[in-house]
Amino acid sequence: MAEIREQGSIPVGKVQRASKFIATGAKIGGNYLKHYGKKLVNPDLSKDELHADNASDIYNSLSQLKGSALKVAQMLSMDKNLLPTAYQNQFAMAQYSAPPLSYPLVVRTFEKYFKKKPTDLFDTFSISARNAASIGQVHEATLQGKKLAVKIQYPGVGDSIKSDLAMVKPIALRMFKLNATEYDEFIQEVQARMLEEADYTLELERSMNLSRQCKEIANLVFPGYYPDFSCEKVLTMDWLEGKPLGEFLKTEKLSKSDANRIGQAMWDFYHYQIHQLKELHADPHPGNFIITNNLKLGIIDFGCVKVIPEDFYQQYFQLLERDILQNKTKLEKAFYDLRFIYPDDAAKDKKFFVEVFSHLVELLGRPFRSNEFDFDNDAYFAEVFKFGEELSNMKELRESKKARGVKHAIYINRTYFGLYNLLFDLKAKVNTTSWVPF
Amino acid sequence: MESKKKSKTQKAAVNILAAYREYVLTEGKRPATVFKFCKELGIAESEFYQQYASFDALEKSIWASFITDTRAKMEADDAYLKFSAREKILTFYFMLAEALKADRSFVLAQLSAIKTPAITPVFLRGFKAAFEEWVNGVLAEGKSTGEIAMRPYLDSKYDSLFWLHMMFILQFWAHDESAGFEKTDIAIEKSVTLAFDLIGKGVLDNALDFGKFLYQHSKN
Repeated sequence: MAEIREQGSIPVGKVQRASKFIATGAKIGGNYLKHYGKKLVNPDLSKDELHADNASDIYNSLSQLKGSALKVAQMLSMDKNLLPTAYQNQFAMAQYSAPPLSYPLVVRTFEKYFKKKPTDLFDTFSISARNAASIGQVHEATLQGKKLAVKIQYPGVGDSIKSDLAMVKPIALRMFKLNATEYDEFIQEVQARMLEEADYTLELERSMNLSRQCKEIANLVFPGYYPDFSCEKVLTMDWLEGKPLGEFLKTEKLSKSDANRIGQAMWDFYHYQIHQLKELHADPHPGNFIITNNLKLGIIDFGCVKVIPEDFYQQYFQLLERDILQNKTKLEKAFYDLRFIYPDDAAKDKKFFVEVFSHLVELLGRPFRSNEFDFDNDAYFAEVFKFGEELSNMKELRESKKARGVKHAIYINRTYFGLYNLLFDLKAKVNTTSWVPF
Repeated sequence: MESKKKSKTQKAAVNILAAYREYVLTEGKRPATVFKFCKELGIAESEFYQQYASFDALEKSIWASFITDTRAKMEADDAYLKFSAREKILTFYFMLAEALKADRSFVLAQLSAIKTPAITPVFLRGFKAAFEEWVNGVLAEGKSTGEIAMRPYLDSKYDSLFWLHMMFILQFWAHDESAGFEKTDIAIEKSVTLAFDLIGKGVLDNALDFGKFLYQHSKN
């Protein structure tokens, strides 16, 4: 009897996952009811509490699903900088809290790909995982006195990505207030990146390539990679001593000059990739950076790399030209190129969108319009978030049947969003002209 | 002299097993008689009967050796001794899946002959006995470390539950079409985790406790 129930409960099928999402949907509905119920009694009630409830419910549900759904949650939360802060906090945690893979399955994976047990391959190998990533976990190993980080992917990640993404759709449309057209564009791009992320062989190649090309940049540290101990499910690299950026900032204090130095390294890292290499590490998440013991910036996890197509590069970065906001024809051309506006938009719509996006360009491009920008600037970020909140409540934007923006911009926007946030957390002042050719 | 003779009979047993497997796989059925089988193999019938009483006994032996070989291989590894009951069971299933993979055609041919899943077919009986013996040992250990909850009446049935679980894994694997039988690995990992959630101390005990309370209450 009990056995039959057990078999039915294995969440291998779509139905299981679907019911999970439906349960979340129902719970969110409940939270709204709770919110409006309380609001009847207390009209001053802020939406913060509601957002916090929703975020933790979605988060609880997604973190049980692990894998791609979790990643979508992270993506949605970061891409749409219009998300309330409550969501972002929950999703930032996601990186660290997926339940671990059993050791026998880790051994099984090694035997499948290397025909050896991890303990035969390395001198030592930790039985439990040291860190969890959203699609895998990290074990610590040593080989000839060297400490290594061995990342192992959960089995079946590739298979479940597509079905998970299909499941997220109804929730995403409702919770993140995206319209269906926008969502399809979004998900196409995200799916492509996520399938790439599930391929550690590709990640190995990109990690080695990008870290070699960026190694001249000051104050950066890259781990060495070990192709002999890597395969599509396992990735082995040097263990970087230090603390993940997020944790570091919570527990330790950086002097202003160190913060500036690390912030500058991060800025240079991104802009060198964007403008020189035209492909970049597109996952600026606090868990993907290590502050090493000698206060340098360690860069791990090249799972998510966005290659910038040349024509998109021209279209997108014309927004950074210094006279763009004064030159109306230039600005309008850029907006048409990037599909913020369409030739067949009604005049009223066009005016509206030009205004909204000009404001966005002015706001987000501000760091580029002076030679130096101090990200330790609460007023600036409050303005950004306030505008984000306004955007998420704009019904013209939400109800627009056309996708506003192009899909290549998703990961670039997300990168900038992450980068600005990290620099804000670091309280860094950086020279914004380095590697920027405008 | 004694040992030399023994190794010779062992070799004969291995030959018979290999020949039998091959026959079943190429012909798609059992040999008609032991006599015919022995004649084709070029051995005397008595040699066959020295090892196996019948084809049924032979099949039983093939299946039982899946368990005993896996167990021997697993227990030879020092790390295994330090594992928790959950990890032991996981390791066992993963290694068994690997061992079965080498004999997949034969295993599938045998499994497809099962008509009524409720009755354990003859060829699986030795397999079942060997499995239950092993799993009982692991469960007893788990109980002594507290990993598995003591539950009067119920906990003595766990071996049969694990047997059903084993049959589920076997059937899942038989129908698995994923590359490298990756989905079987996932099924093993998730179902064993769930099984240990159920037999570990937790919700179920509280439910039983509450049920007992209600039952006693209703009698007063």
